Amino acid sequence: MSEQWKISRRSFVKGTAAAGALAGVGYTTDFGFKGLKEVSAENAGVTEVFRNACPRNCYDTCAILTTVEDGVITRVSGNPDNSYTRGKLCVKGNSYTRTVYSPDRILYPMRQKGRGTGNWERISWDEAFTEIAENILKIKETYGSTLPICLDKYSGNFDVMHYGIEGTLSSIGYTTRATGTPCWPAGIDAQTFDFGTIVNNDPEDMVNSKFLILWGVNPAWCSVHSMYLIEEAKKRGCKIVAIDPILTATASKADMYIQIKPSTDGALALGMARYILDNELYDGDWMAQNSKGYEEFFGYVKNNITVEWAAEKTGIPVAVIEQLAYEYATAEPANIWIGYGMQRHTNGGTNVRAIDALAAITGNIGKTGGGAQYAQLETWAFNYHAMIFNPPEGSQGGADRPINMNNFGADVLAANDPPIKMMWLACRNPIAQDPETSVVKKAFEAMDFIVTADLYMNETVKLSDIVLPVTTPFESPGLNASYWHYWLNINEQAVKPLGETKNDVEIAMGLSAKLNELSPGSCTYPTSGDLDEWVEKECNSGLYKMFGVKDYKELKQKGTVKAVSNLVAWEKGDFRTPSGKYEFYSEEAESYGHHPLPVYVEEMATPKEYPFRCFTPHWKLNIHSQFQNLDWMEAINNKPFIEIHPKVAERMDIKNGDSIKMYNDLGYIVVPAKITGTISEDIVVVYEAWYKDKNFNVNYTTKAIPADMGAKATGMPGIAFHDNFVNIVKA
Amino acid sequence: MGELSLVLFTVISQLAVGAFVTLWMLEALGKKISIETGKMLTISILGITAIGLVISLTHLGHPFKAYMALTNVGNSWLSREVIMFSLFFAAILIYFLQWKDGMQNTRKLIGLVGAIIGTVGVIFSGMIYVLPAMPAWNNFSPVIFFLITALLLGPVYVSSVLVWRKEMQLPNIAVLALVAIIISILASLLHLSTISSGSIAQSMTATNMLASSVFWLRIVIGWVIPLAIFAHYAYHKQQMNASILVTAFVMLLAGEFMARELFYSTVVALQIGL
Amino acid sequence: MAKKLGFLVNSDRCVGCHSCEMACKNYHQYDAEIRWRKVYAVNEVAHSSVPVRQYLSLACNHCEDPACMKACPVRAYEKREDGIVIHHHDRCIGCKMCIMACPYNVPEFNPKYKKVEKCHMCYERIDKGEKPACVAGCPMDAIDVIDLNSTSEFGLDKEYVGFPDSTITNSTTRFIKPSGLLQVRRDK
Repeated sequence: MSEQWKISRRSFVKGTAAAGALAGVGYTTDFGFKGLKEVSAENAGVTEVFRNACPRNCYDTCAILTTVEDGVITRVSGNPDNSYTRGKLCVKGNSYTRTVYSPDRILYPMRQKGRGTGNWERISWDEAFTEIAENILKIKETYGSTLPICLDKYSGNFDVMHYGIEGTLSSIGYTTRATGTPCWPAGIDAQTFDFGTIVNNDPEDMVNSKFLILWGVNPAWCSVHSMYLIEEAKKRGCKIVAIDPILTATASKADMYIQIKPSTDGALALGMARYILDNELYDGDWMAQNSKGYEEFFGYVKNNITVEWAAEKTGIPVAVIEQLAYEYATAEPANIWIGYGMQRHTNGGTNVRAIDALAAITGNIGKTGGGAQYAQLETWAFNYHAMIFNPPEGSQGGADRPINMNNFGADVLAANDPPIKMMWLACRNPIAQDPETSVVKKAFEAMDFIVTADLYMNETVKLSDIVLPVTTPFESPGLNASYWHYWLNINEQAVKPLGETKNDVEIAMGLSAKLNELSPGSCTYPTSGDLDEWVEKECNSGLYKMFGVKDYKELKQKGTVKAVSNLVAWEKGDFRTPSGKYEFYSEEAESYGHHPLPVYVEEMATPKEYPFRCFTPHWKLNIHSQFQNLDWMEAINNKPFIEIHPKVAERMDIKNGDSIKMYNDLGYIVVPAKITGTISEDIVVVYEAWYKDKNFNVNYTTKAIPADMGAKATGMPGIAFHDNFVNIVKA
Repeated sequence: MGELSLVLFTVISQLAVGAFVTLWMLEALGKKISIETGKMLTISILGITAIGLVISLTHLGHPFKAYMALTNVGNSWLSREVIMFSLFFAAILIYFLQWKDGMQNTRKLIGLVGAIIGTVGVIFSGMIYVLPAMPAWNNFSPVIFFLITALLLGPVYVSSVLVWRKEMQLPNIAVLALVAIIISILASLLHLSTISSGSIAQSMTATNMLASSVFWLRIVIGWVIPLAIFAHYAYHKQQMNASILVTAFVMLLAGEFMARELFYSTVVALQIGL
Repeated sequence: MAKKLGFLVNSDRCVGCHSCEMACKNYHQYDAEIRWRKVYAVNEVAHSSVPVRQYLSLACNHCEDPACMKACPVRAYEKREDGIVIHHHDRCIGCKMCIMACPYNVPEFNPKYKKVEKCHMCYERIDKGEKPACVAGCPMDAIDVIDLNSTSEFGLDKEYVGFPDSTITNSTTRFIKPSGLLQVRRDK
């Protein structure tokens, strides 16, 4: 008891040491930021406001207004013209001035003398391009193709111009590509089998729901603008049910929270389906007109599923399942938001199919306020001009070689004929974020040459040979769509690029110039171009029509525009499956090795030696390895922790703050304990994040276990992140 | 760091007030002190006060603006303390100028005024800390403890100087010091037991104290050993010589520094969440 | 009648996202380690027998009887007619009395300037008819500024679990407690 008091007692004088040490890169920032600036816009020299967009891997993809005084960003805010952003940014968006002006920012190209030594020296862009080009040409000569060069790029920046990174590699020849996506592919496949592709209702339509199930999704932390819409729906009489193994901040706002046994969501959905079938609460007309295979589905449910079985599997009482099924089936309209966290299991994809089926049997698809929401890529109707370049004449290899992004380390090491010898990493941080960190490190060790393009000295950059400094969204132009809402946001260049930073497209151009200088014709990427013009080149008449603008000029003038039609998914019943109907019975699924119906696939069993399931959900102060490292964010929280149930803590004599070692056969981490009753006894929770100066990476314990689905739509199966079994002990 | 300057300033200023009151009282009670010794004692008290005031300035973020601290006498105990100790400093100075032959009566009068000012100054110092936001301090204890420091240190200091200067013997210094130490122990015990069973912030403060090694060190150095020394001399009705008095004084002083350090560092403030 | 402005903190709508405190920091651009507004995690069982995640966003309580103003020896604090308590940076001598005196841990000492800082309810925005940065920045519309002299306090609480006794300084912050939810849990 007495130790607790010592930890929490407040000292008499609240003197705090300044945070934010300079990274050991040997330069100082030019921007000295003054505190307590009481200067108003009128006093400053020139004040301008620019429109920017947040390009992060986030549902909300906010429209931002950036105030620039005398060439320096002094604040950001949400753009009120965007009815989804509503003029507000999240905690991450509000910290953007620190993203730009952090003293840790990499401002010049640098070369590391001895990989991993931290001995970085500044080089010029010319030197950087030369060394990279020479390495590329050497590989071409040695191996006859550029296949030994591997690109690992994903979601660090979803602004359309950043597909120029793929373009960079396409323009030098055929290369190896880390293929797939770690986060959401199982659900994408599921919805692809069921609907033909992923399309969700405009999230602003959620306010029209009368019953909304938040299934394994945590918008309070991951999509706070949608959380507002959920509260609006509540105000209009919508009943909110949260189904989640963890009582999240979102679930804490629901009318009802159901603590489901992890990975058994499909069983709950099927149990509900059985009840709906037995009580004839299904919409027979809708199914007859719009679906294929409902008789087979009902046959499966009738012969294999009982509510009692579902109760046993999920840990949820029969009465609750029945009540839930009844309320869901009779509400008009009823909505389900399927979270990406929910499908990060070995049976994630098939669980999504079962939930989709619930929406289908009750005729809740294609309705305002209804549906099974997951994601959409409809609004990404770009030309991908920055990306699409052909390899140079005479390139060998035949085609790009895909390797599994979700088993990156192992796949890189296993690549043969030719082996992988060089890596290009941009918009991605595999050393921090990939499972099986030690294997990824081994893969890095096997490389002759590693190039990273990044903002900060993160764990991946620390293990590279050359790092190229990149611009933030405020320093170069672009265009952004969201995979959730239906807005298109212009991104203007608000300030000049800091230091010698370059946009990824500029990097591609510079590299192309150098390659062609050393070996004419070795790169097809244009060697110059106006970035603003390139943004316009991403647009086409289809895009303009979709967003109700005449041309690029109007798009730029408005800054943020919303799609004018097709805001209710599948309203016309125009499913994009082979049959043109919603497919309960999917031969496509069968062709990928799955059962054609949304059946229940057993969840991964808990091994005896590792009795705790470790969830690694998203943290509220970051997007993966972005933002938590900023000084303003560290002032709120600067250490990771493990959430442990009080009964477990009691059993193991663990108190708040005790050092805990969490381990399995793969690796371990040591973090302080946080005791909370918002989780269940059989799980522990460690939020994934990159803490700049801490030796913390939960992925030392995460195995690259594949999820069941993902190969169809994204080329590779997803990762069952939340099927990580561990044990804990006091450290 | 900020706490160290307050620890030093408060103990030193209370030593000065206690010494001043003792000096005045000795004359008021008819004891004869030579002019030279009187001047020396007064100057030393002036010097101690000056050092204390300078140290107190180092607690401020902007010491050169400290003069502004006189502006909120209507509300702020700190403002009031600053005024009192400024007046106290002036009083000592004027008192010093009275150490001439034949100025005895004036001197006793100035001494009385200075003693009152000084005592009030110590009380105001204590009142600064009587804050609802600091539950362990939100009672008379800061004032009491500060006055006890003056009582504990002042007379023993003055005695040490007088005995060293061979001015006089103070037959009752051992008894007086003994009584002062016992009062100190009782006050601390009473306070500690009260806050131990008080609100959360109060009991946390008590826990912090008991868990600190300084607490136990202070008991030995600041109470037990001096207590033993004075008890011995009181019991045996022996005179204390200069070196033993100085030793006892140094231990008492160290004890008060430790106690004051504990005062500032163990307190638990009201906070969100407690 | 003069206004009596105070923050309204709706913990029923608050999801603990920290946007408010970051919106404040973004608007005023002060030093990293200083936080004028802080979002606290409330004890899980403060308002229910079953744990929930609940949060409290607090800045300065602009008290009717400000302890900081009383304690300050240099009159660096001023209470406006509309109730906003302002700290005048230029007068501050860094004595930290206000930090000691405030029951709610509001003023923060900035070692760079050796002076204290705190929330000033964005009075420069209020004077223009706008809301403070935190209020404008909350995506959940969970905080607001209200005039206690013209708003009914029906349904609003002065006290909150973990919040020191508001009568010490008569804080003007008002709270709405989170409402309960039905939980179906697997633990016994």
